[in-house]
Amino acid sequence: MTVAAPAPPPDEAVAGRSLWQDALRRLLRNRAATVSAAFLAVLVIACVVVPWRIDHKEQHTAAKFEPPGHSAITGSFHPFGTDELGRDLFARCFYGGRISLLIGLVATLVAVVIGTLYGSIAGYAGGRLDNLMMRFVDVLYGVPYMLIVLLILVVVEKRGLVPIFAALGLFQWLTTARIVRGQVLAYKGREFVQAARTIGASRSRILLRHLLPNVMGPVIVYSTLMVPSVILQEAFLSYLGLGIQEPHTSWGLLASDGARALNPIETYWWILTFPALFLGTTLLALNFLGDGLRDAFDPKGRRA
Amino acid sequence: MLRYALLRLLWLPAILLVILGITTWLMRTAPGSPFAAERKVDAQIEAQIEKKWGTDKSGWKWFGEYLKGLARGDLGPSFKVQGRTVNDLLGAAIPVSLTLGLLALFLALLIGIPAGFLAGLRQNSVWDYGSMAIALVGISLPAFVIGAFLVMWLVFKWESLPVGGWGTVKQLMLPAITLSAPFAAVIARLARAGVLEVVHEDYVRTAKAKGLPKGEIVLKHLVRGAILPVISYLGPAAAAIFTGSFVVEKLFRIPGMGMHFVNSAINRDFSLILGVVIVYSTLLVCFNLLVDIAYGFLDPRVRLGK
Repeated sequence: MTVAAPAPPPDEAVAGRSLWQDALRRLLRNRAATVSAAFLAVLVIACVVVPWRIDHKEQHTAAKFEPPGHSAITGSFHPFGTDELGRDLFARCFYGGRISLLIGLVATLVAVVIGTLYGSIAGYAGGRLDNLMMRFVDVLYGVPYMLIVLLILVVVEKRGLVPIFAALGLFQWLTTARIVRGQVLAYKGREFVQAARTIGASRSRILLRHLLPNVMGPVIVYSTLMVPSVILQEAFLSYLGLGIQEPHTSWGLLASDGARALNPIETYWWILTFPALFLGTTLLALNFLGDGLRDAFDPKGRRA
Repeated sequence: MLRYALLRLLWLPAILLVILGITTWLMRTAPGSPFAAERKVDAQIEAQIEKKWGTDKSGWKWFGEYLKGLARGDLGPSFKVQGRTVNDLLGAAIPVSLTLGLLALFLALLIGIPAGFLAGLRQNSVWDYGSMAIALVGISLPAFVIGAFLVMWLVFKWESLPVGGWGTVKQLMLPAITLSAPFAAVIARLARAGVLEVVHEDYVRTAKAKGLPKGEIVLKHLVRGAILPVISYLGPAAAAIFTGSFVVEKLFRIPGMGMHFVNSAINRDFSLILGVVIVYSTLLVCFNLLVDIAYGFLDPRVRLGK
């Protein structure tokens, strides 16, 4: 409804609280969500800076599986120890974070763009086209999509980021499309849309300028929760050896290397624990932030 | 009701057709063949192999033959596992996955529902934060990490449980816990959300105003409404849990369906892929139908099929 309200006189501009301002205020009051957001901001900066300052590729075959601490062989300090090729795990965790976060963000972005377009077209067109488009979504919901993702990755044969973005983004948009369609349906009969139509706004203008801003709230909430699930799926793909390939790495790949190195004789606990810690805390923070956003946009029934 | 159920079951062929279409299409357009080997095979032999599995025919023709077999309950020979039919492979794996899945589902409900209800009823208390923090950890870690930690502590460190295999109850414990963890976490969160949704409803307030004891309000009025989100999640969850998990099966060496799920795709074993998909989609459609029927019983506002 941000669009419908006539512009208030300039001196009272602060008085009009939009849906967004309300949501922001509620979000800032949620301590778990704000702490998570701050943590994520610091983490993103660290993931950009650390691998750039500390070498994550340098191998010391003599110094493999060195426990955390100072290593006599490499002559340097490894806060998280070294991996099976003697690489510094601290640097690799941050480098892996770069890629994990990138995958999470880009695949989510792909899914949100496709889902928003698809859902808004279906919702706005209505009638038979809507019915057809949404039945197609229903059918895709029934497909075990991981199987198709695996098939695509196997068939493409080229390893790299792009096939992973595409394969993971390909099925994530379904729920976004449903949400957006529902929202568009709810809003398209409202007065401000009728008003826009009456003054001769084109279809695409109504959709882009009047409907989408109102739709984005739930979409943002849902996509915050989509990022962690995409990162988890990439971890699963890496575990299968279909995700990121060496010498690049991701938290999922690091953690699965850690799980693979598990044996009854010697526990190299650090190569599993530290990547898992990064993965876990990041996903935890993203989930907290997502929950906080949901409560902020939809305070119904969640009063303390 | 019956009409509604039958209509819903009609979805199954639609889903199967889509998957069949996608897999057949991928199979046809993909470079390389499922029979490609390290060594160069004689062209004549290759033609024979192609003929045996029917891949010399066009996609549509193969599809037709496959459907004919399917009507007889024959899922065809596996492309990659030599001398075994898909019926064989799935027949051996399904009971294993079903047993493990049943146990895991039971565990997930046993842990998730009480934890979620407790958190919801005592919102913003230590119980709430504690159980939701644990649930979030369950959601935030991949299964192979949870499983690996369990193995590291319970098996290697304390040597209290066997590391894997199939047959004894003790061997079932770790895989069942690992498999149930993410589901328990989601169920707990949904149950909590369900309670919070219902707590402020008028009919609960009415019950309170009538002076009913708290226990009775929770059991008779709250549970019915609050459990709905969990119920609707159980459809896809049960389908996923019963088809097994590759990670759990690999970690604990269990001969279940999750293996076939992943290996069939990686090996391009197309008949096995289709077999797995048929099992999964059938389970999904059936469980979702059961969920909707359960909804009708639990929520008086929902009436199926008009």
